[in-house]
Amino acid sequence: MEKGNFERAWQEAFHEAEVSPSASVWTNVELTLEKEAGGKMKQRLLFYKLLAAASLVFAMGIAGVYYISFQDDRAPIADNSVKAGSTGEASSNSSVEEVQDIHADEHASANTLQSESKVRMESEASMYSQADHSTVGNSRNEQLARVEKNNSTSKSNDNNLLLAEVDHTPTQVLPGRDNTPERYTVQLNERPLPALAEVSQPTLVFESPYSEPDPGMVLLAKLADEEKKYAEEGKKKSNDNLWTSVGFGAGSFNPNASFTTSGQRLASNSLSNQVNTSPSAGSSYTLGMLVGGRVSERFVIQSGLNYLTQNAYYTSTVVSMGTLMSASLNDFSDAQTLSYASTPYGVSSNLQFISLPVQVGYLILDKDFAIQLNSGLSTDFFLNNTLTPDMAGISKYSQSAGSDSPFRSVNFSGLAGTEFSYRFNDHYRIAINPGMRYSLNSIYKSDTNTQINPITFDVSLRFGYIFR
Amino acid sequence: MMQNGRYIGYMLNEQELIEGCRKGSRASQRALYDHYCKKMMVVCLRYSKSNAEAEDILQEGFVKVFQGLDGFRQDAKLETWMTRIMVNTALNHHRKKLYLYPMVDVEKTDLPDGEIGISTLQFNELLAMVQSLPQGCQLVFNLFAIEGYSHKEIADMLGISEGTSKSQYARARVLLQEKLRKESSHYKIYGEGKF
Repeated sequence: MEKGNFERAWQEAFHEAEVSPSASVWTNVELTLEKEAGGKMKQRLLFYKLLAAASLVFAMGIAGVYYISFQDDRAPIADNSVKAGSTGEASSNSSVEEVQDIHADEHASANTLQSESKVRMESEASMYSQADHSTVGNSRNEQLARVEKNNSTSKSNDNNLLLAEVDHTPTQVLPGRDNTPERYTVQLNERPLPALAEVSQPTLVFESPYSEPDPGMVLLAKLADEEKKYAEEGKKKSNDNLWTSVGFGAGSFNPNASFTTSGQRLASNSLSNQVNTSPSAGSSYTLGMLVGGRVSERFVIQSGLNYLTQNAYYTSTVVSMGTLMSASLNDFSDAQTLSYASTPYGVSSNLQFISLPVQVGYLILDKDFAIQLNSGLSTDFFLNNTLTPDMAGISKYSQSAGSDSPFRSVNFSGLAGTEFSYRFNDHYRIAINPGMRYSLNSIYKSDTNTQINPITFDVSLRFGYIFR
Repeated sequence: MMQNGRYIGYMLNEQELIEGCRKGSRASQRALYDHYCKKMMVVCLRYSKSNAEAEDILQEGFVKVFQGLDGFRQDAKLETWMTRIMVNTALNHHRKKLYLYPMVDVEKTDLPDGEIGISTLQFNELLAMVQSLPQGCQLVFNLFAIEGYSHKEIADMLGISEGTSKSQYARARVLLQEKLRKESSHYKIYGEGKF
């Protein structure tokens, strides 16, 4: 069907036509947009909350894993050391008894197969209790047990048993037996027992009857290595006693307030600073430096200086009267009479503070990659609040601290957060800190009848220098 | 610019308004709205049966305009783009209840012998005629005669067959011609003084 004059006539008839919609349409459009803007900010807020929560869970998870592995690592060391009798007196006694048994058996029946078998049995019992799987290799006469004299320890006359060396290299090959690579040499310190007087510094060679490496002994060896590492790290850590960092943070800012009509006398032809609004969450930015120090193995304390700015967006329906009106109404103390309702307009609020945080941190992981839980208090000095209207014809309004200011000059905020940091060399460390800041008092003075306790969720990036 | 408590946005050009809206400036959004709301209201009225319904569509359409301005590439005129959004919003509005409209092929359409001119009629009367059409006819008439879509495009948009679109349009045209003929006879009898 071709378009002809009929269609063209209708097009022309409607082309320049105009009909005014009712005023409520714009109000509804604006309300919808406000809601959506609020929704976006809520989403952003939720993101930061989730990030903070996730970081906390992550930190706790790491701490848990670290704790469990630490406990697991410690337990076998303690068991083995007790069984081996390297330190404790009681354990040393029990081990000495076992060794005495071995020596006695060896001495009493040195050349007999029975004694050999007995030694083996005794030794097996002893070594099973020490390291799960070991056995006496052979009798002294068959030169399967080697006795060595150690001059350095021969002077020692105490009763300590020094189970010391775990030798993974084969020292002797048993004829007629499977030549397993795992063979352990246990050196016993000389002990002046009468039966063993002539035998000083005996060294017994045990051969594992299993072709697999002895897991108990391997574990012992690994643990010894770990111990060394921890000891070295401990030395390293103690060097990180003082550091400084600079950083920048951004996040969401929730005014956490319900606004009431102003009780303030306002500057002429300007915005009211408290207006009937639909407040929405905004953004927050920090810039500053911190100095930190270690106060114990796990605890650090840090403080510094931050510049803090918090932005929020409101919709206002109130503006103040003009100069003329203010002048003629000087006697009125109630500022509400100096303002009048207007069509809704947007207002950007920008709060600025200088912040002095003091935080205590607990290091749950203290390696090159470190995790630290922080908590503390911040003293915030109010600098300025600037209200910028989103509508021409209304001037910007700024208010500083002071006796006639509605804002408290000094505020206190609680801080909590997690720091994930990475030390990439001896002097430099980079860190990311998700955290929360909650104002402990209203930033408005009590006589303003307004309660605003802002909550901020932010993530900051810090670059630190470690003094050595 | 503030004048007697009302914002006048015409001091800014269209590009500045678009940029302002993209940044979320409420003042720019208001100015853009003020500039186009009357024309867009007419578009919405053509697809509606009442002012209230048209205002609902207008409101929803403007929210979509502000949300979608980031994606406006300026290949077309802003007004054309906004009109398309209003039309789509109106169609979505109707699509939900489209199954209620009797949109069947009309077997035989008696097209009027001669066309009656509409130039003598005022906009309000023409709008009332369009609004009085059955819903399906109203949609197809608007899309074909005023928006300029083809029947194939209309069929795709409404989820009907091309034949249905054609027959609906033919029916709309017959109904409008009858209405115009009546109005025309009023003219002949009473003259323009009636209006």
